[in-house]
Amino acid sequence: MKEGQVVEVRGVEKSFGDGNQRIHVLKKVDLDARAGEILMLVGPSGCGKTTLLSAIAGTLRVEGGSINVFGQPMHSMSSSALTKFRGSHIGFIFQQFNLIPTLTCAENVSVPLLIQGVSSSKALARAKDSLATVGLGDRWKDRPGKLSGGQQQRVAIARALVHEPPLVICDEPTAALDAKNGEIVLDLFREVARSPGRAVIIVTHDNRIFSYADRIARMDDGRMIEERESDHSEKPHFDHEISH
Amino acid sequence: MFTQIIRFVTIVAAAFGFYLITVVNAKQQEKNLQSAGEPLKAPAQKPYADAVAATGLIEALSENVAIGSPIAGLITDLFVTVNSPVKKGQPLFKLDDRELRAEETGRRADIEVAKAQIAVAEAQQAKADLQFNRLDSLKGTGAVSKDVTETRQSDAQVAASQVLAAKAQLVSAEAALQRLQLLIDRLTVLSPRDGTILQVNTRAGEYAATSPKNPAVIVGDLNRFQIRADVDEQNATRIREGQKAKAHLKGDPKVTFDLEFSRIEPYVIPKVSLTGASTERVDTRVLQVIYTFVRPADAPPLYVGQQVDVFIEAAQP
Amino acid sequence: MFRLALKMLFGDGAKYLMLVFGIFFATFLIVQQSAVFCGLMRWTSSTLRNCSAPIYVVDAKVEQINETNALRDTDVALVRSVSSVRWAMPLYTGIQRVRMEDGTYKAVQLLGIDSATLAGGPTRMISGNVDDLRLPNTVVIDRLATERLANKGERPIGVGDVFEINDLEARVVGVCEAERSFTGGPYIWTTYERALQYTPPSRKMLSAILAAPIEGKTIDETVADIEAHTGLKAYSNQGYGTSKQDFSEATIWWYVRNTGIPISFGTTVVIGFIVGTAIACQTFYAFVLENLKHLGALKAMGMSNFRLSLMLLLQSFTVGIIGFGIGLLFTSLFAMAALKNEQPPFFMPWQIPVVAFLVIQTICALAALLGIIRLSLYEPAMVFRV
Repeated sequence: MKEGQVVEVRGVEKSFGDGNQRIHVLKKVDLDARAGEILMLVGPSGCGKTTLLSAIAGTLRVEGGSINVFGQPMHSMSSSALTKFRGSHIGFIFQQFNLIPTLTCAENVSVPLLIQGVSSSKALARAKDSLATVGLGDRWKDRPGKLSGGQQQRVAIARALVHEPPLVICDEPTAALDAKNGEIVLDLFREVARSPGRAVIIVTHDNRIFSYADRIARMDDGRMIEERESDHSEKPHFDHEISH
Repeated sequence: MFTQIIRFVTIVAAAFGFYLITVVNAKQQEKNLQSAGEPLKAPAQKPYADAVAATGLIEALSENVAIGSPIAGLITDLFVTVNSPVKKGQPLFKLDDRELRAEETGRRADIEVAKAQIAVAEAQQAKADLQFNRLDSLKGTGAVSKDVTETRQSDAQVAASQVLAAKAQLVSAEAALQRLQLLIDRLTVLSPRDGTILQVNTRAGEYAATSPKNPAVIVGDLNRFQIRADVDEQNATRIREGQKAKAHLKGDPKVTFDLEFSRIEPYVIPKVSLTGASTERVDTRVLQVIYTFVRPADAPPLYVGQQVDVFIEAAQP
Repeated sequence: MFRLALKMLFGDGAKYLMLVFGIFFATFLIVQQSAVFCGLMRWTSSTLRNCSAPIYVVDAKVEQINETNALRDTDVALVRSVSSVRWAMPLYTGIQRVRMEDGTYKAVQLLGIDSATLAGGPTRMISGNVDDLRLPNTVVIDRLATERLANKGERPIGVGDVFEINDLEARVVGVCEAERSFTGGPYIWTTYERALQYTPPSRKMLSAILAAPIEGKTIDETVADIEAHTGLKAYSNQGYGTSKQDFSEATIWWYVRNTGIPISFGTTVVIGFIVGTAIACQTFYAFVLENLKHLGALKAMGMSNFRLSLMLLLQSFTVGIIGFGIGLLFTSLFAMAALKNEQPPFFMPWQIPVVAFLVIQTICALAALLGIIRLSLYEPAMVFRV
């Protein structure tokens, strides 16, 4: 693996269903992700990008090829080791935020720490810090239901980062957000990727946000059809200008 | 807030529920009746390891003599009271004898009549003798015919027989009077033996029947007692002559007597229940075993007819 | 994490209440109905506890105390003659009628006990003296009788009052505590001889013989001895140690075999179990389904199946314990009213709540198991698919 290389996907294959109904979702896909950059996985619906993301995240077994994350062979690890690995190395951000509505924001954020066995009071303190970094330090006592969509996604980001994972995986993070909130969230991602140098992989088909990517990998029909550096010049398609 | 109230209320209610059920349990325990250890009054202790139990009745030693009335009749006099000692031949009670007394008066008159008739007969005999003697002295003189003399002689003989007959009449009248007097005496009932009056079932002026079930007076000997123990026929095989026995007074198990074997009544009879119920119930047949005993000095007074629990030392069944 | 599991549970007030209600309902039905059943069954053998003696001897064919065949009077002596019997006393039990002043009749349970020893007499007197039973025409009544035999609207009867049993005078010399009879009539003690006078005569009147073993013999051995030597049936009495031939057990089994009581109560208990299980499982499953997305996210974020299962079990057992507690609360309230009024019957051996607790926790474990199965079928990758 090259210096800074975090994820190395080689010749991954995955199919669903049986016999005639068998659909090949991933056909010999290669992908690399490096620390400190935002990699966007784009493509039309059903192209296999979410499946690839699941495989990288270690929540899905592939049938062929290899996936190495931080040098760990995800394709051959036992499922309990995989579970442990997910808990310690990967931060998750979901399209629907998946915050538990009956818990406060701080409690939600503390969950990854609790999974790792950090004591409850310590976890809560770090959760509050993490909330502060996403600008919601004063909302820690509120239930997610009281927050706007953007705020909820920021809570989710705080949760994804609270245990300092070197790899953050985002599934359509802006799909449920309006333009303004999308911007705020993506700005956060940029910071996340730059400061201590994390790898951020974002699956999206929202072309408004392509300009935030450092690299873009385009997929179609289970194949990687383009993988290129982004020049950040692709014009953002948001309706208004972003102000920093 | 709402959920907090629910949480608080349910948890408190549940905790209270756990507590209350222990309270209920304690209350229930408290309501539980304790098993009685022993009867309030200690029951009679069995004197022998293997014993046949029987119920018994105290009797006077000589057995109780139920005195009946010789004839049905009105009682005019009662000479004894319950508990009074009597000697043999002592009068107990007297029945109405007026009818017999009335007859006695008639009989006495009959005697006087008989006596008068003897006098009449004797006078006639004297007269006949006189007439015959006068003719007889003229015998051989030819003054009177032989025929007349013979007639006079036979007259004198008839008169003599009449005297005899009149005398016999007197004896008969006297005998009749004597019989009446015996009948009158019989109406005074005498004690057949020395003893104590145990029961008087009649009063002066009452009508005494001759029914054997209803004796007017019961006489018995109170100095020594015997116990008649009813042994269930199922236990009869365990009874032998001479077995030791002890008796407890029913109602006071502390009073115990040593019994002395007397005899076994060889005839098994239907048991007459001793429960004192109004109706006699024949439950089973019983073997009666008779024991005698002397009342211990320190024992409470005993009475004939009292019930006792008897334990007879017996062989293993 | 487990604290958060509880917060997740309590956070959803409506679902939580529904779950607790299901468990409460099942608990209340199971515990209360079982206790009422036990109470009713206990009533059937209350004579055995009111008239307490280590051994009951009855006719060979008798199976329960409320239906005895009369014995012969001499059987008392027969039992007394058994070597391992320390004492034996006659007992009359029967239902007689008390005539009230207004002409109505009340049924009573008449007990005739040995007049000398008063064996089988009342054990807990409230007022008066048992010894006074030796006075003529006297009875000791239980607390129920003080009200039952009082004239309408008048004060309860007590020591010194007089009523009539079968037209014969009965003077109250004592009031005692007694358990309720199955027939509902109060218990009235008198001596054996007087009980026979109160009772219309029949050929045989002796209902049972009370007996006790000599020292060094167990009740069981004496029971066997009595049966071997007399041909009568002997039973041991509860409260003097457990035994294989217990009269109250025999009585209760007689009622179980010969009446529909256990079936009707059993049905209610089973319905309580089924309804409780249905409500609890259904609601808990819905609870798991609703949270599946979040639980799946937890799974994706690295939580092991084992830990998730523990969380679900914790949640269901928490509901189980709280619901059970509330069920006990309502059962206790019912019990207190029942014990106070002595009606309806209520008797709860400690086994009932313990077994009910296990049953309820089994229901909860079952509900949790459904959730666990559903969750383990849920692949963490599914969380990425909306």
